Amino acid sequence: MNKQWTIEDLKLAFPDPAFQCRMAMFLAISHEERISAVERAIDHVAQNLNRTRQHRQHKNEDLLTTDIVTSLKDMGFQASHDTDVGGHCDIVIEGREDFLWLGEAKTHSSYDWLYKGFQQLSTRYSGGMPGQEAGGLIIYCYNKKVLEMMRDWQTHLIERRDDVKISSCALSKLAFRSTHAHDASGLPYMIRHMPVPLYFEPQDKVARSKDRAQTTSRRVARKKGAQ
Amino acid sequence: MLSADELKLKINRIWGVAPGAMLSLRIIDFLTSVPSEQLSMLTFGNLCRVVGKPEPDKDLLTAINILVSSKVQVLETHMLFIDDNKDEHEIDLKDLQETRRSGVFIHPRTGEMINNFEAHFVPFFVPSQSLREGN
Amino acid sequence: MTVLNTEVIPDVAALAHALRKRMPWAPAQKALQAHGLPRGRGWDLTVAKLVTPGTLAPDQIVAMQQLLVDHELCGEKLIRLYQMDAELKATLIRQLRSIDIQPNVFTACYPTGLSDAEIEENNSFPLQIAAIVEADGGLAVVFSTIRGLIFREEVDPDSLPPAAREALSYYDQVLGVRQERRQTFEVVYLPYEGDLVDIRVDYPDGMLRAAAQTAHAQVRQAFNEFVGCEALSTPLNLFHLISSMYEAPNEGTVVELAFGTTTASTKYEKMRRSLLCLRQEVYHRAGKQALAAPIEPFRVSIQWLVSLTDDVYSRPELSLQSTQMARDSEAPTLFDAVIRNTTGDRDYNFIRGRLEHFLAAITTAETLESMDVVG
Repeated sequence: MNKQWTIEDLKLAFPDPAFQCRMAMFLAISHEERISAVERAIDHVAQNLNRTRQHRQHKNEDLLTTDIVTSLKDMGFQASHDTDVGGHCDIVIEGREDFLWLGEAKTHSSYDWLYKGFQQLSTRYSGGMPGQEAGGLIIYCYNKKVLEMMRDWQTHLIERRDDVKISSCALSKLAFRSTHAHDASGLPYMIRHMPVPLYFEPQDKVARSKDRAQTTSRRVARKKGAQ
Repeated sequence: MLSADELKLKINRIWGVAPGAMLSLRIIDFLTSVPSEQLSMLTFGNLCRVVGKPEPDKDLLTAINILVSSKVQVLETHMLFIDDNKDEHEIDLKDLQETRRSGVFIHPRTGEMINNFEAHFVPFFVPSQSLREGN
Repeated sequence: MTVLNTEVIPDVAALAHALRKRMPWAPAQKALQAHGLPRGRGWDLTVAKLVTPGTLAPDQIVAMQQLLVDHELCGEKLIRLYQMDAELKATLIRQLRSIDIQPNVFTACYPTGLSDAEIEENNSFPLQIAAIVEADGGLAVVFSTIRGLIFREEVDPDSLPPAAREALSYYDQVLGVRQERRQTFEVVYLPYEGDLVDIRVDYPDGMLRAAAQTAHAQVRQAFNEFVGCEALSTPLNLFHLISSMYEAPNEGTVVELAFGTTTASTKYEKMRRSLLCLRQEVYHRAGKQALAAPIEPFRVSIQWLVSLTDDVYSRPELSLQSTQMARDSEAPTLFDAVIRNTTGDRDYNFIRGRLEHFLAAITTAETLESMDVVG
């Protein structure tokens, strides 16, 4: 047990993304790094939701968000759901040195609904103070073609808010970032728009049913013929 | 600064009795039982011994995350650079930040770029100022 | 005397290269910052910035040159101190100020020094005076030569070809000896005030101490021959400074210590974290308290924080390194002090001042002792 655990040792011994998320957070020494660690953790959890989407088809926003918060807490993040921060914010992640990351979760039904989430986050919940300059809009998508949806959402957002600047997100091709001057503080406030694809319409059972139907009708036809 | 008991209650309230949270309570007990001047450098090895594990695992990393990055804030992360000559250099936090941002680490003595610096960086922990003052 | 020609703008690339060759990165950063000179991440980027045409104004180039001069006088040195009669010193200073140095290969390229190619082309360069310069409250006679410095370094087996790695796998540690020819700057410094004269020889990391000690002897002899008398004879014994500086509670930060105990053990202690002092380290204190007899240090390294400007600090380090054997002898001696991580005369003179202070205290104590004996 006299081993000196270097960062490389830790990464090699624990390549699991959940380990990496924990490490990224406790090794963070600036709010910028903490934001990055939070985003990575949320991406990791979103991947897990996507992998088990078949079990999440009938869950409402709150239940999905609770799943996210539970997973974040399992990794040691101080995450909570529905905490009163200017109102009942879906995801609140608190940290040292007054770090605060807020997340608003919405199931995509219309772009106006997503815009409501954006407005809740940027005008109701967040204060835009130093250390609290970033948040996330988490979009649960039960529809197909998430990329197209996100592009359309981006267009919609720019049309509604010409003060918002859009940039790509290096962490995910599906996500994008928006930045605008926060109404309260005047400081730049960055929101990461992150979809969680939950579309689940497997085609294999439909094909099998068709085959079964055809086999049955052939059998019936042969019987009739035999008679 | 909250007392040890108040800190533990806070952790319990937020994280319940999850294994990582339970380990963080044991670490708090250790930190508050030893004078802070004897806690100038806590390595992963030290923390493993405190919680009775042969090596770090996800629960210990969760515990460390709770103690370092949440508002509980009883530990701070620092970094030691050990070069090929086994010489040790504590890395200034500003340099560390710059290294992470640029992906480049500069040997404090030679001024040369160290490419695989993560193989030479050893994280360690010290009690936070608020814990030290409380102790 | 040498007066640097500030009308001719020096070659920035040559200056940058010379600085890089001799200055460790940590003090170099501080020195560049204190002089308002641009820096990059590491030497490669810093040199690239400095040599980019138009980056430096003429006065900045002159500042860079002064930085190099200062480091050649004060940086990474193994020093010895000599007592000199005030009148003799004053006479020598007068003489040295009026001497015209015989032009030689080193005077021509001072302070930038010879290029690597020039060093490689020529086999022998005897020790000669490169310059005599005013140096912050004194006069510095700068000798130079090309030395084949021998460096001993650990070799990382992973960097070797597989066959070599396999052949050496039996060993816990593989050391390599490397020889490198470098131009060195050895300085005899005569302060206007005080009676201590220094000989300072270049002592880069990894250089064998015996080689530096040989250099000292050569410089002393060369200086005495140059001034025509035995001006410098026996260096001062610094051995007792090891204990006295270690025991002074607020004298910098002790980062390394070796000592013997009356319980027949030798201890080597080193602080792993910067700004923490071994004197206060709990394990060290507890060990001392458990002993009835005091510990007997024979090696100490002390760091200080020295302000270069309002917001730039350097962390120069003094090492006094003797042996257990010397400590156990009847009259232990140590003539060498190693001074590292200095940026120039400011932090060097700070350490020098501390050495003077403790030497004076020892002399006073010895004088009082002898008075008691007489009394």
